[in-house]
Amino acid sequence: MKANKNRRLSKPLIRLGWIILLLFLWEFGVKVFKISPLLFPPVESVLQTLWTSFIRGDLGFQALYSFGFILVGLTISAVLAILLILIAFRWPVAGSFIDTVTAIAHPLPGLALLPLLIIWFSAGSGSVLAIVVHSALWPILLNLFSGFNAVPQIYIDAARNLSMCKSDIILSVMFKSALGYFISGLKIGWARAWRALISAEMVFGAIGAKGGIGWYILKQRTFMNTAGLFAGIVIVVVLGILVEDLFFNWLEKVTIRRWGMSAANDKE
Amino acid sequence: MIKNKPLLECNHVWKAFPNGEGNLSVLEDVHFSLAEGEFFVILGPSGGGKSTLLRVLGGFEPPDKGEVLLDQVPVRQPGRDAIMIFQSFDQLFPWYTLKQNLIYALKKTGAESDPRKAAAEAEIDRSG
Repeated sequence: MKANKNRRLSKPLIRLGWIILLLFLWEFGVKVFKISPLLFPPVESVLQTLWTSFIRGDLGFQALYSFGFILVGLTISAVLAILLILIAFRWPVAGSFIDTVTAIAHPLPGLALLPLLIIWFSAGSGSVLAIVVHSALWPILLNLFSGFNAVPQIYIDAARNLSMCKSDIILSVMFKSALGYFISGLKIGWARAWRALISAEMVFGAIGAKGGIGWYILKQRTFMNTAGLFAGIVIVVVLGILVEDLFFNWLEKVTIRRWGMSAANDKE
Repeated sequence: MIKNKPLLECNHVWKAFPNGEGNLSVLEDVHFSLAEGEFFVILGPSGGGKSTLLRVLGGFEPPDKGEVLLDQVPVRQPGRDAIMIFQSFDQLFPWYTLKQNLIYALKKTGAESDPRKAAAEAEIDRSG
């Protein structure tokens, strides 16, 4: 138990160590092989660009804009997914329909829908939001389906023993039992939405007023500002790691891991 | 000895489950009645249908034919008037503590808030 705790504490440190090693290899490679800064700028000029871009406010603002966008998109997706799964398990006919729609929509890349979305929502934030929701909704829903199907029969029986009605069982027993699946769905949904958003911003950025981090990266290429391009990529990576390691880690810790329901504990 | 009126009646209950090539008949014309306080043992080999019979008696599975009466009322679904104890041991909800589990069950069966807590605490004290 103690060893386990130590390992968990040192995980961010180990990660930091690897990142420093990567940065060192980067710097070392650029200096030794004398790579043109236009192709691969050294670490210090990327860090400098990061710093000045943040001071100027441009990069920070763009990152915040994209991040806010994804938060809104993910929240909408999560709420929609929960609503759909409740309907699916309350009325089996609706469930079979939702299952089929998920099977159709899940493998469909958001960007494939882009031209259609432009016609529907015009080329603006509406279309970008639609792509984000499309990217996140189906993986979350698919995971919820697996989670609800994997609810141990004994929980449902125990709830029926207490005369709980079907809606109550779905909401307060099945959903909690499937929470681990919901969180994994959120993780997949977040990663897919984040990728889709960056791509969509590269397409839409010129039209939208703000652009976002994807548009920022594309703009740096136009000006051949490779260091700025790398700075944008670094921000995308850092935000990704922060969400994954801090937010989702915390969410799992206060719920499924605390309840002894995480995958590690599932092996019986 | 005066026989009490039956509390639980199992009237010619039949139950079959679909399996690959048709129906596997598990319960065939199971018929008995039990009075209050009576002690009754069901013995049989593994896979003999004991659990299925219990699930039908508890209302978790509807019988194909026949009916189960509890206090003369047909059992159609499980409920708090006939709480059943399962064979499986992990029937506590893992997202609650033991005390919260007890309180939750009491809440769902309609007990008041304060006595609920007291009853749960007393029960934990009693069983240690």
